[in-house]
Amino acid sequence: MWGSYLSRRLIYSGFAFFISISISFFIIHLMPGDYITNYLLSLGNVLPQETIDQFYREFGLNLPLSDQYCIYIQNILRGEWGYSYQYSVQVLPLILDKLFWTLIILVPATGMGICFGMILGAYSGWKARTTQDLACFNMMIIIRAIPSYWWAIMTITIFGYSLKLFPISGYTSISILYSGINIGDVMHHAILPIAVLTLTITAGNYYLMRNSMISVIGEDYITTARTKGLDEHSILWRHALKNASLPVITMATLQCASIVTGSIFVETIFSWPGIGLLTTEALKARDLPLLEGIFLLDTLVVILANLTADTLYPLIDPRVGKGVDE
Amino acid sequence: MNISELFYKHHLNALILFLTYIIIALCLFSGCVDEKTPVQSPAQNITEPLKTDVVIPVNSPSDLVSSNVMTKKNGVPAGGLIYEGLLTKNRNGVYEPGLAESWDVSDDAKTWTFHLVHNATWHDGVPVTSADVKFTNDFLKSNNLTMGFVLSDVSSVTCPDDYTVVFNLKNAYSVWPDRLAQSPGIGVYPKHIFEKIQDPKTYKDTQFIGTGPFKFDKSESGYFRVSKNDKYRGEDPKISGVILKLITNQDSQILALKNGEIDIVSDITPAVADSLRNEPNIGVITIPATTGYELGFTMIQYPTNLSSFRHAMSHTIDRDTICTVLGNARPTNTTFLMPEVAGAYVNPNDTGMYDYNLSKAREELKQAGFIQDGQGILRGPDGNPVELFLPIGGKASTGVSEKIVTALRNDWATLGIQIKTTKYDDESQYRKAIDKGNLFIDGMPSILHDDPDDLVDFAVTPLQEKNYYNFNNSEFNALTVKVRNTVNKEERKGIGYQMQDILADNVPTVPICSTDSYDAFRTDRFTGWEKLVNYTSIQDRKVLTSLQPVSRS
Repeated sequence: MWGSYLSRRLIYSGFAFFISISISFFIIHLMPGDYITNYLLSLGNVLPQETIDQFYREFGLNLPLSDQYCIYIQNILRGEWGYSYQYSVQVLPLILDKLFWTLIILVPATGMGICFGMILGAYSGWKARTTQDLACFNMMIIIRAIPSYWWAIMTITIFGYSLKLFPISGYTSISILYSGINIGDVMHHAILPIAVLTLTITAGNYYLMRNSMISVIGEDYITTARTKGLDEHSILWRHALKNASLPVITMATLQCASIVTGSIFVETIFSWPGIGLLTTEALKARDLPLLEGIFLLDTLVVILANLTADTLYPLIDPRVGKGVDE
Repeated sequence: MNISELFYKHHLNALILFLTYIIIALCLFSGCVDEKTPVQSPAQNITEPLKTDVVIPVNSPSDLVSSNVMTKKNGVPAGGLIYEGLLTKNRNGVYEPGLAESWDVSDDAKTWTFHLVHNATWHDGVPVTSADVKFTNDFLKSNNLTMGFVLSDVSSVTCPDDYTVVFNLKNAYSVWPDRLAQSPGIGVYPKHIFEKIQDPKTYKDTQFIGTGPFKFDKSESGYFRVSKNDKYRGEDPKISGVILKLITNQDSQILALKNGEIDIVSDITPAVADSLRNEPNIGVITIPATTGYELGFTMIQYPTNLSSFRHAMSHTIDRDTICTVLGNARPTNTTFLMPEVAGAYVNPNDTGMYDYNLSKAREELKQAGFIQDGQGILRGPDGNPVELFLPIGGKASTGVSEKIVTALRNDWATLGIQIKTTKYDDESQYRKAIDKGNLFIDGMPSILHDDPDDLVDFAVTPLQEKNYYNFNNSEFNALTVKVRNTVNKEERKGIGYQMQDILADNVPTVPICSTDSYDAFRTDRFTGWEKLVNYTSIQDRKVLTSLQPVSRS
């Protein structure tokens, strides 16, 4: 039973992967502009056609798009992610290097964001329509309504510039050039980006958890628990919270997948050398192999996260597994 | 007290409200810090060598020195901390020696001979010889490396001796050193190291052996440090090194400058420059006439293909208003885009012909068959309303084009001309859109407009099949060839005058104004930033070698 379920999920995931990378390939290649023209114009006001043609031939950009697509798929199947125009290095090691720095801020931020969101959402939903709920709800609306880059700029201005509690940008101080990397220094630099990311992730999870909690507390088993005389504390922690958490698991797995989209603004504003900043720079320069690599990685992570969620769900709620198998 | 207890005691509400008030209060009072709070300079919290290291921000990871100078711009002479070229050109149009101490040209402007300095060495101690120069040309071209296009005019390089290099050009080129010196120019690379490279396109340099006053020290993600080259033949740098630090947005760069984390920020807006002038320990330097703005006409689209229409439009540009709006600009009333840097090459007879005079414009439009109807709409000879398309983008896209268009739009509306604009973020898309539009506003760097040869932008040549304006005048094209063949300065000036006369008759473009740029720097760390007035980059080695730590001066 489980084997069949997993096989089906794997086949669906394979299809999803293939379709996703195909769509992203064509979107990337249909983007207006090209690397070499932008690069040459950044050097001066000359566009030597011979150099442009040479670049097109070198990277196969002179071939029909269908041929380029076939080569791309063949390369992926061979594990070749291409060569960055902009950085003159192989794409995969470059992405993995940046991924490490993204995970340093994204993992704690996602973890804390989910926890805070669930706690506040559960509390708010449990206390629905009370002043506590309204206070929480309105604060989350404010947090959510303001874009993450504004929070980033404000935290830099307040905590970095005015109060001088944290560095303004980067992942480490200049001392790295003399004494090597210092974990404490990196953590010090990471606090503001993590705080901003946590803030935005918290707000997203809060809404989901609050709504989920509000629907759960109207269920018959909660009423039954109350009539049995269980205290509110037990009803909240033993019955309501457990059932209300299910949708948040889906949300959490998808949030883990938001490697690129989750931190683009924050990384750009804090000059954090992660995938978000790499994506922004690759987009600006029209570095197609790098963009393809980043989207390929993102596709892989999203599909793996969905697969994990699909696998976890039947374990947490057996009704889900039954439904699928039947 | 744990969180569940808080839930039940209803204290969380108070806690949330308290935090909200704190955040709001911090936001409100963030700008009210004591301006005289002492700032912490990098030297105060880091290690000893940093006290005399200059910290310069870069906007993009790709602006940190690339691992491959042969395919990227980081090896070019202007701003080349590590690599040097044969010569450089300063903002006053004067060539300055690099690895070449002198040079001369044959009468036909096809053979250029450079005499190298005798005491230059690579950072590993190997002497620099003419073989390195020849190798650079041959290596870039034989491997089809991107930067090879800079030397595309060269047919061959010979080395009569160790310190003489002869470049034989395919065609006469009287200002060919411009190609070596700027936009982007080309460096000289070490033969003894690069000749061992198997695959130059994927080569990753880890040594960066150059000849400049600074040598590679260390590179980390987001940082690149070069240290003083104690064996440099020229002026001995007074600073211990230069650190390039990645700070991707200019707002953060400004805050970092105020905090003392970096030493300089370049290309700040006039408003930011004004706000920084009163900051403690911060100086602002004005670099005059760095960019020239023009209103270009696309001469293959109706109605800008009509000479009479372009002439009429040349009188609709209210330069005074535009300069007031821009704040850091001066009107340009010549056919030469940058008269401040072109100097004597500007034809005085072609000055002031594009005056702002709407009545004159209306009259000229009328004579050309463009008449305003009862509703005030300008209709062309075909009876259709005149609607012009103006793509916005390119080098002038940082808000300047929009401001200029806003100023122009009002006057054009009174003439009954409708204007449609579209913004293009991508440079190559913008260039394509120019062909489909009627007008465009371009911002050109001053270094590309200081010589009659720069008027080749308006020509059609075997190397430039079309220009941005789609202007094609056989007499003008012949003059561009002639000016390249002519070495004598007076003769070149005369040819340049003729070229400007043709431009004034045909009006492919109307110069609008030239703008200044501003750099802000810390005054409590180094002196000597004033030299930036003569150079185009804050990374120019001539500027950096002249800096002195404040304590020494």
